Amino acid sequence: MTRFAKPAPVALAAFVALLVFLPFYLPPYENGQITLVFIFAIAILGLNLIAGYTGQLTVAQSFFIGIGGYVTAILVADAGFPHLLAIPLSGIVGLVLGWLIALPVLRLRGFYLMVVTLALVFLLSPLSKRLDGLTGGADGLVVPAPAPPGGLAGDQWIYLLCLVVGIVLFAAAARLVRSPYGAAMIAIRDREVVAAAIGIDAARVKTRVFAVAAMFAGIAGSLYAYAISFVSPDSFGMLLGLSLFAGAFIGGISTVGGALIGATFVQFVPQIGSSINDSMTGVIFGAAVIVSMLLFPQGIAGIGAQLARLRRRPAPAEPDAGDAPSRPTSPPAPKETQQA
Amino acid sequence: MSEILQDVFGGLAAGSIYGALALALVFVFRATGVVNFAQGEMAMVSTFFALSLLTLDLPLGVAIAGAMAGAFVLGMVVERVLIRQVVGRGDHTPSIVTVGLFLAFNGLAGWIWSLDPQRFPSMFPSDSVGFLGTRIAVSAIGTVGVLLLVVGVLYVVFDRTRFGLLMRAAASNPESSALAGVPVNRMLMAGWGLAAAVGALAGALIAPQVFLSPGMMGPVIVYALAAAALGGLNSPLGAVVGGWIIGVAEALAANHVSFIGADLKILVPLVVIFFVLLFRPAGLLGTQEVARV
Repeated sequence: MTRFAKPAPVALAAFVALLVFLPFYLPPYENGQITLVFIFAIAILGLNLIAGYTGQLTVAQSFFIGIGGYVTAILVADAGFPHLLAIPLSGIVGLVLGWLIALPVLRLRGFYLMVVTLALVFLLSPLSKRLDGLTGGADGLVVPAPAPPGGLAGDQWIYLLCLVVGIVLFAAAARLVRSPYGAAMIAIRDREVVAAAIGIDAARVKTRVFAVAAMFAGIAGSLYAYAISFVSPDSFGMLLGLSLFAGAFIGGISTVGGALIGATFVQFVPQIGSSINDSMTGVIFGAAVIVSMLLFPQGIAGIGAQLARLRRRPAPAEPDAGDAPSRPTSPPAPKETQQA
Repeated sequence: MSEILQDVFGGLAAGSIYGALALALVFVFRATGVVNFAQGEMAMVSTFFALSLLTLDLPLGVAIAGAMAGAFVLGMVVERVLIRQVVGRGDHTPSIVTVGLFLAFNGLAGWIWSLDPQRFPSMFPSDSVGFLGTRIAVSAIGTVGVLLLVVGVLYVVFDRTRFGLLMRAAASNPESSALAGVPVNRMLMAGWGLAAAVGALAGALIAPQVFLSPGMMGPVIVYALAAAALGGLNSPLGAVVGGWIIGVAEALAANHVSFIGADLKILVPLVVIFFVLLFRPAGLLGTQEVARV
């Protein structure tokens, strides 16, 4: 499961057809919820590319979602740009900013990227308050909704817009990871030193994939601004950043379906949790990602493959199987670094 | 001039707290090779525990000691139950688990205690003393003193006791130590416990300044991680020095760089990390990472 497994084309077509027709049968509130699932799935898909396929951990998708949201709000509400143009422009801003941030950090391995991205998570709220002339400060910005074409209702139009953008990006991501470039990403994740030895410029690949992940988040942020019609400093905080991170791993960090499963978690767990207590979201996500890492490291989308492997090899292959009930299905990367 | 001197002292005090948390990060890293992103949240939970002890009318010193003891147990349990299962898998699993712990502890604190900021008493009087024409808060001097005391105690424990020798052996070469009869697993647990206890002290030091809430340690862990990166992730002395540099840089930037001000202080650790990456990736006092193919 190091690459996207190709789903059966018929099943995939049926699933997409179901998603296309769904908004015409559901009430606006439910459409809005599923729209947010699509948006989070796009952000998690970017995270899967950089963390799942290239092996570089980041928690900053919420930062780039916020950047995309603000860029869209400013372009549309203040500068009068057309709605559909603001979506790719937000993605490009995310791409450039992500590239600039990754450039110095990803020359090195290790935990620097996590530290920098954790700082970014806490940066967005004070930064947007400081630049209040541009961002509306603590009050945030209201984003006018795009006018729906034809006979569509507003919620149906945004739903379909997010669905189409999502399908394009999922297809692009699937192509990328099956391409030679994707092989280079996986090589860097599994054996960075070996990848460098066979001529892969690891720093450049990591920097570019991080920028692409930031672009996905920027586009997600732009769509988020349309779906919620509002951006504010507190929309893109620590809880969103870490929830997306957790959701990506729970869904399956190196699978295509995993992004959608993780996004479903990110959208619905807070609602279910807050019916018990406002703090339940963090507890559920924290516990779920830990249980996931202990029991099914490939995430929910990888459970099938994990079971299939178990069935193929029924005898306990590992002497310490009782200690570690499951192993990553990706080639076990050796402990490559040590302090001398 | 006296204004700058005041910033430097305030920065040293704040930096001592970052240094204490960075020390905890360094211990965990040296013992198990894991960067514990939940270290700050564990400290926050421990401080809430101290607050609960205070409501039982215990004196502050006893409450903080109790919280440190509780943190010691918490650290050992986390290592035994979770970290040991995932260390040595060779991928990012331990880091991901500690991010999960971050979320879980953050949520648990809000659930068990409160999301609202709570007042937490300071262990120092709110006086100040005159020094070179400026006033320095007793709490600032006390905070630096507490850190120095912690460093002194840890130095004696690690360098002068049999327990410390066993700890260092287990951390530097687990396989050979186990063959020589060192109870490696118990030592790694103790390392996590010790780190959590130092973290709890950091929590009790910072809570009076920022109010105690589940979000209290969020930015602080970023400062501590930056301090550990600056000092060298495997150097305890580096953690302390790194904490001081970050603290002073933060205080100076907040008061003399108008764009940063009081709100955008989180830019300081970011800038520091970029400088570390550019000029000294192993940190000031750390040793270079060596890759084995």
